[in-house]
Amino acid sequence: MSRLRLTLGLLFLLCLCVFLSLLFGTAPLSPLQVARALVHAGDDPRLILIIGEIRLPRALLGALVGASLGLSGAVLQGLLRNPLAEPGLTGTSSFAGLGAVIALYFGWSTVFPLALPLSAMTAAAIGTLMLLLISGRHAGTLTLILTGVALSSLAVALTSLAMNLSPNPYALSEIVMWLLGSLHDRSFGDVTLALPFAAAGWVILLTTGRGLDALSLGEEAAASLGIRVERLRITAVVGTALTVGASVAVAGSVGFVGLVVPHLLRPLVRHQPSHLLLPCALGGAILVTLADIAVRLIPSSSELMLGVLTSLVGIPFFLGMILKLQWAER
Amino acid sequence: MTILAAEKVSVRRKNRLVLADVDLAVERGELVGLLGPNGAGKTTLLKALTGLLPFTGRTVVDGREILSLAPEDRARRLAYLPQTADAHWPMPVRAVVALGRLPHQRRFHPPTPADRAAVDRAMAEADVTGIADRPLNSLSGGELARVFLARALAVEAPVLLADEPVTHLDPGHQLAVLDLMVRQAAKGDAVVVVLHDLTLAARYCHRVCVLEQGRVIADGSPASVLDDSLLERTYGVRALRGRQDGQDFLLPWAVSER
Amino acid sequence: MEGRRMVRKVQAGGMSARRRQSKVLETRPAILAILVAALFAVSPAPVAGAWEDSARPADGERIASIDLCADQAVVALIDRDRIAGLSRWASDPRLSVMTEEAGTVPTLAMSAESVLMSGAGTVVADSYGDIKTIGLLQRLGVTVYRMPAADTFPDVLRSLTTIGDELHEADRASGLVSSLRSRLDRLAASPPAHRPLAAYYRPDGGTAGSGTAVDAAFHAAGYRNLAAELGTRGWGKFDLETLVLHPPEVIVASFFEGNPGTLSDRFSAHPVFRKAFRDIPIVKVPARFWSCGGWPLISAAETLAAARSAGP
Repeated sequence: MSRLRLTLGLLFLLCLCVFLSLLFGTAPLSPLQVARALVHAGDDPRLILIIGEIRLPRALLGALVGASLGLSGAVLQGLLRNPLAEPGLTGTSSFAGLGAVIALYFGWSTVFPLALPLSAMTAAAIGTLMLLLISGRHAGTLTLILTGVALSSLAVALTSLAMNLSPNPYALSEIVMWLLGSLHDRSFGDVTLALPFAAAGWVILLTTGRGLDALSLGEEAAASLGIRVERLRITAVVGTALTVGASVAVAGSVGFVGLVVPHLLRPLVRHQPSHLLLPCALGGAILVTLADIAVRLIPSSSELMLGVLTSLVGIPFFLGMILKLQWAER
Repeated sequence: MTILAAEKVSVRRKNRLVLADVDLAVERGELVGLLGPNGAGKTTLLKALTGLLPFTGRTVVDGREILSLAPEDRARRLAYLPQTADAHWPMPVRAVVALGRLPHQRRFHPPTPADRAAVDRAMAEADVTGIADRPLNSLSGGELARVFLARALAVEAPVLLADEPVTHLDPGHQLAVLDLMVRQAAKGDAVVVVLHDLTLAARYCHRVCVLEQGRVIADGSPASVLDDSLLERTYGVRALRGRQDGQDFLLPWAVSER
Repeated sequence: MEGRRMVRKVQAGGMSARRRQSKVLETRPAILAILVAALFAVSPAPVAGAWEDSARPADGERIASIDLCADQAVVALIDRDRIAGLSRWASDPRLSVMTEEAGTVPTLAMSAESVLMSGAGTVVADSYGDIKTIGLLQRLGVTVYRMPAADTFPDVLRSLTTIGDELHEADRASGLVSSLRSRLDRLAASPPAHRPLAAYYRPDGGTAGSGTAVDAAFHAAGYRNLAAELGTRGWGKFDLETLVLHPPEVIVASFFEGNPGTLSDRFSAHPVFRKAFRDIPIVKVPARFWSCGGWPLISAAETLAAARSAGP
């Protein structure tokens, strides 16, 4: 399949999924009603509000979060040359959650709204840097997973510490949202808060393709091809921090998207890291949008957490890949 | 005409002098073999020349100090084939070879026809055209080594630095790779190749440079350098010598008694 | 809010985040408009105020509640036909005192969409409501009234008066306030000779210290609150060792009905706990009376007072 056709196909699928996402919510609306509300036709202004101001920002935010996670997963995997690198597993998302929680529960974000994404992104950058420092330049599977486990646990522990120290009486139940993520009742305010940072992160991450290609030959060969490897690493860290930080700040941490999507798409681009980036952004957006539809469709007394769905999809992939890598490393 | 030179290059690692005041000059059209026992500093010298590790002294390519060149400029002048060449994703052969064109390509620009032609040439020279579409994980060790060699050739740099390119190859492919290096040199490139096989070095290299404990202990034509006393001193071996097809040959025959 | 705490735990749900609650953004960044337009080839410009004219019934605004505490107030103050909907907790007999009334009114999902569809112009939420849902409703032009937490009887009365004013039902609110006052007076009129030392227990070992609605009911009913006297402020834990060292005269138990299979059961299954429950008189107070710091709290106090006068 040519790259252009793959990209266009995914883009079409994404548009379809975003439209599908507009069809589901607590208000039972027919596709026709949704379509009419989208073009501002119809006699019930409530429908226009529900579609335009409740479901549309939610769908867009799902695409934003998914694109960020899919893309940063593809970049981290290229950088570490390990298909298990993923913001959730490496602890980057947990760190972003920690940053968001600190900004929220100590009231910084009420004084200065941008403190929320900024704090989440700073923490995500710290987490990613720690990962690179600890797991080394070419992370073996075991080192990578163990480092990720340690960093995630650290971030989660610090998150609950921050919540315990905060004056919020319901902090403990809210921790679930930071650990498992949700897009419930998000507004365009959340989109405008996250989009500038996420978009900047996308642009930065998309520039890493050439370096990631070269890096597949190893760091020395890459350097001999004129790649500034240190700069590439910093670029990847900054881009990951921007995208993951912005996503987690508005939606909490949603796991395994960055693992599943590159894994599924890699054969379609014949494993070339640079060709994987844009498709992974689109694929991630599709996956999260679909998962966010599913949490609304699965009947439960309160809406399921988004991360529950992505983990249920992701864990089998994860285990399968571990088994495969073990065979390869044996 | 000298295209590549190292002047008083020293590398210190953990307070140990890995390279000590190494001088080396390579001319266009020359195939230079870098010899020496394990740990003599051959790989370190290649990496210093490529600018991959810090050193004291001066390295020059094409009349310009190597470290003063921008990474892309350096990459266009020096092609480097690492000892343990590997690719971490099972990309198709052609895509891997095409990575050699990165120093010539501008960011976000598709490969030019010149790039494609260079990739085709490199694949033809390394005899991997027939497997251009196969993924790396389906290749044998010999095929892989040729693919990475093609990747280095695709740079089309005037200098090729190859670190043990024949170590894991069967005899046929060893000869084929060195034939290829001779052809590269004949085209006017400078080729520096790290070898452990004295027979191949004596037969193919125009010049050999022998390193021992970070120092150059001999530099000259294979016939003059690889005499019995050097072989005994450096490698602790006696060699069988003879003549075949009008060429002198050398074959390490026995561990020396001393 | 006691009940809500339990509910929240069970549902493991509330994704809220304290965020500035911005007004509806009439304009939003161009980049977003381009993105949306690119996706749908329509320009997004839903006008928040537009629907209020048509959707609001002429005979007065309809009111919805999205939280348990708010449900209790809304049901007490608002005519059925003006209630657009109540939270799903309102019809849970364990948590709600007016399940019957709630049965005649639509149940709302905890989402902005379902509030919009209910046609409510005003939404009452308690102080723990999902901040994302509330923020979104405010952006969309719905008036949101957040009831402050009421943990003492004066707070309960004040809160009723305020919400009565907010919802234009001041008369009905003052009627309810004066009936609550007289019930409180009746409790105060028969002060006990001995104020029993009581420990409040939930199945998970949770207790209530000073400054909680439970504490207020204890005092109104003529009990001493052991947890408060041991220095617990707010909601806390009453561990088994404390129970052994400081046995109360009475155990006041709530929330023991239902919630099977939770971690809570493990605590109440502990031998020490079971022994205490055998040896010390227990007063069971239905959780719904103080699942929320609202007017039903008076019933909790009355239950406690009745148990005290009945004697062990």
